[in-house]
Amino acid sequence: MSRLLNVDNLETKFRTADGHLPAVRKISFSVDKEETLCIVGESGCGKSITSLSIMGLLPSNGEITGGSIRLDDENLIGKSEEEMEQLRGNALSMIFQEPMTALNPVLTIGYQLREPLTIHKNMSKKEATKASIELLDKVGIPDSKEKLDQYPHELSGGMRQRVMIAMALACEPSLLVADEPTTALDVTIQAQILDLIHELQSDIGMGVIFVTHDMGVVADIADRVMVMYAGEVVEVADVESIFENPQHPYTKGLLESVPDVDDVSQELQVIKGSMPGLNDEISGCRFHLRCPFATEVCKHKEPPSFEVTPTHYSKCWLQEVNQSGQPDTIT
Amino acid sequence: MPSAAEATGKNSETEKKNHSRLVEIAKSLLKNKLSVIGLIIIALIVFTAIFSPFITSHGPYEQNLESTELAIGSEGHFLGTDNYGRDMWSRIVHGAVISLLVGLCSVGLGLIGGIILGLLAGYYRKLDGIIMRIVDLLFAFPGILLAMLIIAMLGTSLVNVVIAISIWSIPGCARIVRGSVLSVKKQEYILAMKSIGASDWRILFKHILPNCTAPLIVFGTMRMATAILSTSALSYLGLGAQPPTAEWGAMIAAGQDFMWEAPHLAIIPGIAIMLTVFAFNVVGDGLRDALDPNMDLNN
Repeated sequence: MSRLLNVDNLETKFRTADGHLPAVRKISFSVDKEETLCIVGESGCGKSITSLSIMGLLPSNGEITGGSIRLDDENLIGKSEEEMEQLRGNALSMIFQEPMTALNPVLTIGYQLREPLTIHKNMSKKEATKASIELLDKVGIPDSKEKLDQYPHELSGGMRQRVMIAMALACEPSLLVADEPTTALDVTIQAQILDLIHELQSDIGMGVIFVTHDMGVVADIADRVMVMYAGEVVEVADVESIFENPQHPYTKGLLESVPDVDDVSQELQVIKGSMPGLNDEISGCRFHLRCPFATEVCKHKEPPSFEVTPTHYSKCWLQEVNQSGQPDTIT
Repeated sequence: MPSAAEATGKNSETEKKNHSRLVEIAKSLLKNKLSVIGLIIIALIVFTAIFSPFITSHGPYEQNLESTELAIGSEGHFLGTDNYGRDMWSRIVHGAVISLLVGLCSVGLGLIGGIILGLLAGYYRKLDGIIMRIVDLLFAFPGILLAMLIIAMLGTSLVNVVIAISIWSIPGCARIVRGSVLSVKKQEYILAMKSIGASDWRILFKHILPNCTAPLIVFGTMRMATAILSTSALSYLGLGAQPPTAEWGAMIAAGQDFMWEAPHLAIIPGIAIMLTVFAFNVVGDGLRDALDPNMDLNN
C-alpha cells in the first residue's frame, strides 16, 4: 500500500566546528492518510530536526546527507527551492511551538492569513479576505471579521495558535507537521487546540506528524508513536502498545517519569544521565550509557530493530533475549 | 451588492485601525515641545513652497535696478531686495521649493538604494561581505568630500547634487536595514512564512521590510536635514545650483560680497537654512522617541 509519507534512512547532519555531526541518524518511518504519528523524545533527540528536514527548512548549517522523503511517492529531497515553495503551505504545512513569535507583529492577522491563499490559490485580495473569514470561523475564532484587522499582540496565545493553524490549513494540505504546538499553552487551551487539530484532520483527511514530549498529549492524539533518542528511532508502535506494553527501556523510562496526579505517594522515576551531545562517539547501542539493563553486547554492537508485533518495533537487544524464549528480564 | 458593501465597510475599518496606531505615535510626538516647534516650522515651509505663486508679489528672478539693496521692511518688499533689485521674500520662498525638492528626491533615492542593498546584505550571507565592504568604502569618505567627488565627475548642476547626496545617503540606510534584517530573519514568523511557501522576494519585501520602517522613518527625517544643508553647502561652494538660481546656498555666496552694505542678503538665506535643518532634526529626534517607547530617555 502506498503511504502518504515515507521516510527512508533519513540522515541529517550539521556543519559545526567539530565537523559534520549527524543530528538524525538514518531513521525510517511512514505516515498514512488521516493518521497521527507522534514523535516523542527528550530535547535534543532530533525530533524537531526531523520535522524541519521534511519541510526542507533546515537552518543554513544543516543538510540532509542521505535517505529519501517521499510524499505521495514524490521524493522531496533534491527538489529545487522553487518546487519546495510550491509544496509548502499547499501539500505540506507546519505549525510551530511558540504562537507568540510565529506571527509577524507588524502585520495584521488578515494580511498574514491571506498570504497562503494568494501564494497558492492566486486569489484576489477580496476573495482571500472572504476565505480568511471562513478559515477563522473554522478554527473557532469569534468575531472573525474584526480579528482580521487586528495585530497579533491583540490576541491571546490560544487565539494566535488558532490563527497559525488556520494559516497552515488554508490550502488543505495532505500532511501537517506540528512541532510542539501546545507546549507553550495553558492546559485547558491545549485540550481545545488538540481537539481542533483532530477535528480538522478528519475534515481534510490529512496525515499529522505531531512532535511533542508530553506523554499526556500523546495518549490524547496519537494513532502511532515513534520514540526517538539521540537521533535514532528506538521504538515504534501503535499508541496502545506504547502505553500498555512498552519494550524499549528508554520508552519505559519516559513513561515512568510522567507524574500521576491521582497518586500522591508516587515518587517520580528519572532516567539517569543526560542526552549525549551530537559529537559524542558512542559504541553499540546509543542508550547503553543510561540504560539500567545494559549488557555486554549493548556496549559493542548496535541493536537492529526487532519486531515485537507486526505494528511494534523496538531497537533493543533485550528483544533478542525475549524472542529466543528466555525469560523476560525487564518486566 | 452585500459583498461590496462588506468590503468597503472592512476597508474603512482597516483605515481606522491603522489610524489609531498613527494617532498613538502622533500623540507621543506632540508631547515633545521641540518636535512641535519643528513640525510647525516644517508645515510653514511646506505651505510657502506649495503656494509660492500666491504669496509672493514678485517673481524670484524679476530685476528692478531702480530699487536695489532695499533694507528689510521696505515698502512692497518686506524682506528687502538684493543687488539686482530682486525681491528677497520671493527668492527665499523659491529657495524653499528647491531645497525641499532636492531633499525629498535625494533622500528618496538614497532610501531606495539603501533598502535594496541592506535587504540583500542582511538576508543573503553570500552577498553580505561584498555589499557591506562597498558600504564601508563609501563610509570611509567624509560625506561632503564624497559628494564633491561625485559632482566633479558628473559636472555641476542641481540634478548631480541630488545624485551625489543620494549616493551619500545609501551607506547609512543600508547599515540600518541590514541590522534590522539580521535580527528579524531569525524570528520564528519568518520560518512560519517559509513554511507556507512564501518566496524569498515576498519574505524580504512584505514581511521583513515592514519591520524596518521605524528606524527608516527616523533616518529619513534626519537625512532630510543633512540633504538640505549639503545642497546649500555645495551650492555655496559653487558646485550645485548656479546663480541666478534662487537657491539658499547660492544666495549666501552671492550675498556675502555685500556683507557691509546689505547684510540681509546673506543672513536671511542663512536663517532659512538654519531653521529648516533645525526643524527636521528635532522632528527626527521626536519621531525616534515616539516610534520606540523603549528609547524614552526621560523615564
